Amino acid sequence: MSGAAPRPAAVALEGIAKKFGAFVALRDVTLAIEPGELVCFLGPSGCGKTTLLRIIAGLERQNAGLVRMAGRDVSGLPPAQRNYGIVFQSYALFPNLSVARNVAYGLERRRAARAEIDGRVDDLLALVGLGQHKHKYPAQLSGGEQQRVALARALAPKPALLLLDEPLSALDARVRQSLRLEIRRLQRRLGVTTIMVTHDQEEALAMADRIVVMNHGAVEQVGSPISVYTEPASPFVARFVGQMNFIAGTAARARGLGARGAGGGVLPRGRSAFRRARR
Amino acid sequence: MTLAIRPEEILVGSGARESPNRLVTRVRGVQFLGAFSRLSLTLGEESETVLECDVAANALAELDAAEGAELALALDPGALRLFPATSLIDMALVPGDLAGRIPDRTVRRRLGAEDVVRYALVAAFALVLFLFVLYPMGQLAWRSLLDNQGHFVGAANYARYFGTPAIASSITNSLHVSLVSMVATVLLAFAYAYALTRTLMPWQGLFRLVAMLPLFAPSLVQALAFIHVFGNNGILTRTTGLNIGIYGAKGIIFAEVFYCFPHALLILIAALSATDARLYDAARTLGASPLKTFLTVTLPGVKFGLVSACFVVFTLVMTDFGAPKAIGGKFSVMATEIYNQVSGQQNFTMGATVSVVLLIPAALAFVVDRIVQRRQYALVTSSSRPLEPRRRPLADWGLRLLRAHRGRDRGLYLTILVYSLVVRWPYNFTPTLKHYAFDTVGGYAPIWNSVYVAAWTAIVGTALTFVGAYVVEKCRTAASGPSICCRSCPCRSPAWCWAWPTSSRSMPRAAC
Repeated sequence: MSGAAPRPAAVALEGIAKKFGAFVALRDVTLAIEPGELVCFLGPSGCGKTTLLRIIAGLERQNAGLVRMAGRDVSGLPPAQRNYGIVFQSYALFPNLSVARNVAYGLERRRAARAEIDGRVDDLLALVGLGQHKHKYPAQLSGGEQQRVALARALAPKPALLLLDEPLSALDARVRQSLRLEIRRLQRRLGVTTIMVTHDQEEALAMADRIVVMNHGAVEQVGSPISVYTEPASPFVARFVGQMNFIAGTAARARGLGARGAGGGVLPRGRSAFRRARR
Repeated sequence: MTLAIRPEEILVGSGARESPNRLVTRVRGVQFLGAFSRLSLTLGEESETVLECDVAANALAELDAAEGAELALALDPGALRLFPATSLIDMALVPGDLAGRIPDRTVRRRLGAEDVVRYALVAAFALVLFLFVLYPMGQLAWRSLLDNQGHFVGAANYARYFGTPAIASSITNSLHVSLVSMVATVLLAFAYAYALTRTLMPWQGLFRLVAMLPLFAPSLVQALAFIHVFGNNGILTRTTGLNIGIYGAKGIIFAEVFYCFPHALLILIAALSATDARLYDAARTLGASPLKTFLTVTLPGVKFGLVSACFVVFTLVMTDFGAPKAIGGKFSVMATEIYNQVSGQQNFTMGATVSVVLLIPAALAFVVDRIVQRRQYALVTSSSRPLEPRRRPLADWGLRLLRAHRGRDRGLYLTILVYSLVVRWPYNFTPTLKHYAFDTVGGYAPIWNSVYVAAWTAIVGTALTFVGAYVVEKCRTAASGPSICCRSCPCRSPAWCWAWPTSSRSMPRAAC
């Protein structure tokens, strides 16, 4: 799939399948994520979205399929060699380290010079608006602030890819809304390819460049928020993203008027055109 | 076919008049949602199809859409979507054989540096286990099949063991003492731990500290203390003339209860502390009595702690040598029996035989322990709220009084101290320090030997235990089960059986 493109996809998944015992978590998922875009994996709990993210992160091993990052096959690499940053729902900040040390954590491993690390930490904390909290400890910060520290920590080593695992689910509604915008703004500014897992359709519609709607371990639809909302590919997508009324009926007669809309073409006229069905 | 339309795309009021696809519906419900309201509409009396329709707040005013009213609406052809009827079912869309086509093995991962370290640790630890646990145990088992000249005699030793009434009775004696001590210790420790964790009992810190005292002395000391208080020449016996006959099973049980109390207490405090307060809130709001709350929330929550406390106490008593030797009199238990056979009669094969028999209850305890552990569910999740004890004056002070008997315990140590400070108990009470001079038995050398051995055991044992626990917990491999089994074996047999570094015995306890 990357053959024709001048630049290979930032992340390419080819036929990913995953089983937990007899339970099939992912069935043959193929997907390409372009450099710089923010993609949301959206679906109900148990649809496989988190498993897919963990496979990309190398935290879970797939039973079949390939993971490529910028053209390089990373399927066999341990997490540390995949060059991504990750933010978890539960923040997972080190409680015994200050905010600055938390952000510096991933940099220290790469043996950068002290001054360089300090500079980078300051830049990032300024970026997420927490410069003045540098010497505090995670327990002294609010949930939203902690999640911003987690974001800064993930971004500090300049990863090629940012993974967000339900980053806003643990926060209250108002903080969630403002952080939504902030993450989006930051992601645009840094141009870092981002994959976010969420079960909140509003969050996906508000933040994503493209939404991957998943159900039962398979991809139901991939598209921009507008196209997923206005042209749902399946009843599942129609119902999961926004509200949808369904009316069962039988086609009485078809006239060739040319197709309109997603599945459009046969348009009923008046009430007699369809028979009401009992559900 | 299935038609689909979004709630905000349904036309109502004036907009519906000129549109095709007009319907007359009945309003079943109105939900006010702020900027708009959502109407639930039925297509007719007999229909179960419900349409949801979003209407802006200002448009709703002119509709007069009260519940039960008729409402005309139109489905704009341009907004209708069409799906095949079958796709309405939430598909488990995949043919059944797909699961079969996914390979069972996950993809291979290249070995990182961490993995190499991990496997090296597993290998090293396996070697240590083999050298210090499996090999000596094998030797022991093999030895029990030989006679004293080294000839293979099969099960003859066992036949002789069970055939000699005097020796065989040590089995029932051991079981008797262990079971009684177990029940007594765990009951006492549970009440004590409950008082420490669940009430606002005054002076908690002091009580916690005091209860830990027996940890610092071998069981031998408890036994000696009991002799000094209740023995033929004990304080109580001499002052009241009441001799309760402390030598024998009674004395062993008393001494063991004191000796094992802190071990059980530590486990039960941990178990009682790890509780989700939300369950207690739920029980209270549902009107459960304190007894019902205790039976349905507290006990199930600490079930595992209780079981493991039982096993720890049982095996501690089963394998203890000091107390029975000191206070047991003629009452012979398995641990002293081994000592008699090996040290007294130079009968190594019989010693080995007893050791192997001693492993059987231990092995049983291990299996039950594992089964219980497997059924243990996560009691404390990330959303749990720790339980804050509430002030209950009656219980707080009641349990404190209950604890007062522990003062007796402190008295025991005091007795030993006083004993050692007088010239010749109970005939001459002149204070003296001469017993601390140790001039006859090699001076202070035994103390320094003890410190030396203990220090090395602490260092080596802790290191080994840490590596072992790390290997088992972080590098889950097929070898985990057996290795846990191997490591806990030393816990279940007297140190006497282990002519090996002491660490092999202390290790499993630290790992637990």
